[in-house]
Amino acid sequence: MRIIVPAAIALLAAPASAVIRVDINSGIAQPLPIAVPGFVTAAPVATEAGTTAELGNKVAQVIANDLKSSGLFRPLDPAAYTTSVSVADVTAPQFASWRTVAAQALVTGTVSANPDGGITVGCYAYDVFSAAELARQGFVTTAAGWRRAAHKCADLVYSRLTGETGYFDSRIVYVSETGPKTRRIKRLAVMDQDGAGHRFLTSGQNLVLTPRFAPGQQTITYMSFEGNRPRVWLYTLGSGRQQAIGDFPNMSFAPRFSPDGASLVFSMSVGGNTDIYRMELATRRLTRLTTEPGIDTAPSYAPDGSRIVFESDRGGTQQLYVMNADGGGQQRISFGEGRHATPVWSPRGDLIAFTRLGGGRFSIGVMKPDGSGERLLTNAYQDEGPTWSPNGRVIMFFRSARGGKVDLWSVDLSGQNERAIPTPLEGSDPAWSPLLP
Amino acid sequence: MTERQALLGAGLAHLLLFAALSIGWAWHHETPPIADETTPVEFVEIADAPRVTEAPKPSMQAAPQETSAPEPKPPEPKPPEPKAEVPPEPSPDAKAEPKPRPKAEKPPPMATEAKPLDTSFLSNLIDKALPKARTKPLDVSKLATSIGPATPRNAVIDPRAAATLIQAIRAQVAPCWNPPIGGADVRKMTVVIRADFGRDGRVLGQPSVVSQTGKTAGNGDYARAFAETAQRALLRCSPLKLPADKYDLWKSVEINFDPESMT
Amino acid sequence: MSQRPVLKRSLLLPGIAMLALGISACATKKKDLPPPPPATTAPVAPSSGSTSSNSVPPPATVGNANVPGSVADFVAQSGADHVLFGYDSYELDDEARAILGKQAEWLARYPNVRITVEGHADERGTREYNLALGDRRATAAKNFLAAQGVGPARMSTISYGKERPAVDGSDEAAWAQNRRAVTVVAVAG
Repeated sequence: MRIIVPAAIALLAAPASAVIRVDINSGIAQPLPIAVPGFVTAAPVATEAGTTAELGNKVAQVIANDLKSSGLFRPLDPAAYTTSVSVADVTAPQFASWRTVAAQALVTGTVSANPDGGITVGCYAYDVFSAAELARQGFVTTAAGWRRAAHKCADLVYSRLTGETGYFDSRIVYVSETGPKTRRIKRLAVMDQDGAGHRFLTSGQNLVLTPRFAPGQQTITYMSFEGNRPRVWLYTLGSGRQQAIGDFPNMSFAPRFSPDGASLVFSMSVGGNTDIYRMELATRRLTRLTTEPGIDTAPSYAPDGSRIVFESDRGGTQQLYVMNADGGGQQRISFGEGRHATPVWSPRGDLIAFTRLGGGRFSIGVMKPDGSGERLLTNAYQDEGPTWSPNGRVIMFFRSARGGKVDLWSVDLSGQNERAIPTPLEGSDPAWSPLLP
Repeated sequence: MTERQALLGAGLAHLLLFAALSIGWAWHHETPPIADETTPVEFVEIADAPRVTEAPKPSMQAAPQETSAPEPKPPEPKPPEPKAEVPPEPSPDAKAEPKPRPKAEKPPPMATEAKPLDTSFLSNLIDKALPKARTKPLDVSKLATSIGPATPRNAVIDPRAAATLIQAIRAQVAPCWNPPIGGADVRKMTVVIRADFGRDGRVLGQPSVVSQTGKTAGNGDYARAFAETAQRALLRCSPLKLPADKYDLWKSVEINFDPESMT
Repeated sequence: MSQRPVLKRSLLLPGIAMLALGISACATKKKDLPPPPPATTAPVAPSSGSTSSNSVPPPATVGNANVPGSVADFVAQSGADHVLFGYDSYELDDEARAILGKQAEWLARYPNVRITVEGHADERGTREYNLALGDRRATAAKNFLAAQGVGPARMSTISYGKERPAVDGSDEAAWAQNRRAVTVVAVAG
């Protein structure tokens, strides 16, 4: 990029002549070939997570895997590389060599040990054909935190090359399932976005459903049948503390945090009628937001906190409605075929994802907040419960095969790149965290 | 829905509910706190690799002190040093990049072994070249547009020859263009790139952005990435195979990349 | 789901059923501990397991002679411990009303028995909607029983949505069985 100005000046100096203009309206949309050679270290130093040399290779693998999973990049097979990367090459890559393997972008980096036992991961991104540096960033973390540094680097590369924010340094909370359907055992579990660091949070003793991260990510709200009293609970990560948010006599469920984390919205069923309530967590003050007879549930805040989208069958079947955060101005937005349920507002604010029921099947779809532009992204027996990646570009959901397994899947906003998310057992009710700080 | 009326009676139940809410919440202290969780990641500016990689050296020295076991001989890690002095020119890709390497302007990496332990020192070594590079599009587009209007008056283009040429360029460049799919604003965005060619069909220097539509205050990063896909397309396709006798017609070309019709 | 015997399914031994003294008695129990995946032991089948039709008769009884006042007796006298619903419906049809009417008669004879009405849905609805739908069904059954003279104080409801199907399957037959409200009696001492 840097030499553009000289080139333009050269043009000025050239004798004026007609310039041919060519219109190109098509291209070939395909994953960008990218090389991610192992990150190098000047001299291997032992850390609690392996030597810096070992970490360098692992970091590169995690980055390549992240980029590949987005469907927008095609990491090249390291066996095809025609050059090895020295420390000097990290900042002065052998671009000609990377061109010969058809890499269009290149990620290089270093891993070095810090005196406190931590590591610094240096991350560099290049455009191979223009031989230009695109981005660089250093990440200081603990040796055990090397994966997060790798995800941060992948996010840097992703955002610089796509112009959108990344989403790799994030986590998923979901419900791990096992056992026969009639006696299903469900446990809360969390894992990194790429499936690493998987951990169960609950034992399976109680039926648990629909976890959601708080914006600060240290708390999860969910529904538990603990004590045969289906209620909304909070789980504090780290301490493992579990707390019912209130001693409701009625079933409370479908909890979600407000964008500022100060409130929960959720549904409560009283005498067969289900409405949406908001609870201010600090004061436990409860506000009833909907009063219509019928089932009002699955609330989801707009990212700016001003509005809430939810589903209601007040019109006869499940459809999507939007209301102001105080419950005013309730308005139906979904008018397409079939039923619309489980709306989730995109973190970018521009779209609402939902489950559409029709023809005996569930699909994941998106529409604009005014209800226009509805389109379906998936089609299977039952695809349910969308959740957005932090950058609003990927949607994760759970897919139930007819009479069969339940698993986590993701699809990108264009309907491309449908992938199964591996989990140790079966999985449902995924919820994506915001980007980690 | 016949029972809805009955459901309305549920309003009464809500009163009970509110009363019950004041009963408070039971904190259940859970068992084994789970080892946490998010390890912090701190962002730091990083300099050229030779500097960064100095850092481990002291760590090597530190390590033996703690673990009495091996003696990895700190003085060893010299090898990278000589290389670090070479990099500016040796790259075989020099021919593809006729321009001078801007890096040469930077002061040669200074030996900073005095305090390499302190990671914060890294932030003082911000590569000044990088921000500089980012300022490019503005000036360029101004220059380029000032050229544009001037050209038509020469009207020396034979329409048939031009049409053939346009066809040839399109056929060769389109397959090299990998437009960013799925981006929020991709449909509304177009970019005009100007490229200069040598007689051998190679792109000279870097294709430049003449103009861009669909750019808003909020999508600057995306607009840049979008323009880069167009620039990359031209570089990937270089050299183009075009009729040598018409070189005057194609030595400088403007290409409008418009994904409108793409699915 | 809790495996503790809070609400015993029909046809379990009355003696076991007596362990269950209602919801509140268990509300302060130990909760989830992270590690061990619970090995479900056979006798502790979750409260909302299979329907009576495919349960094994309790060994304590011989032939069809149920102990009066027992859970088995309740099911035998009522014809069923559950009623079925149409797709996405919580209306009680004639058959359901007949069964609930008999349940009410039995409950009138045993005024110390408490019940919990469980509402369930088939898999063809989204999770949260089905929780609310199950609540509607349980409430509909409870309201009917109340109209037949069963004191509201003896009754509670709980919805399991689509979480506890009676039958595992993705066909009409399975769905029909799963759209149900189950009257779970707790024979108190």
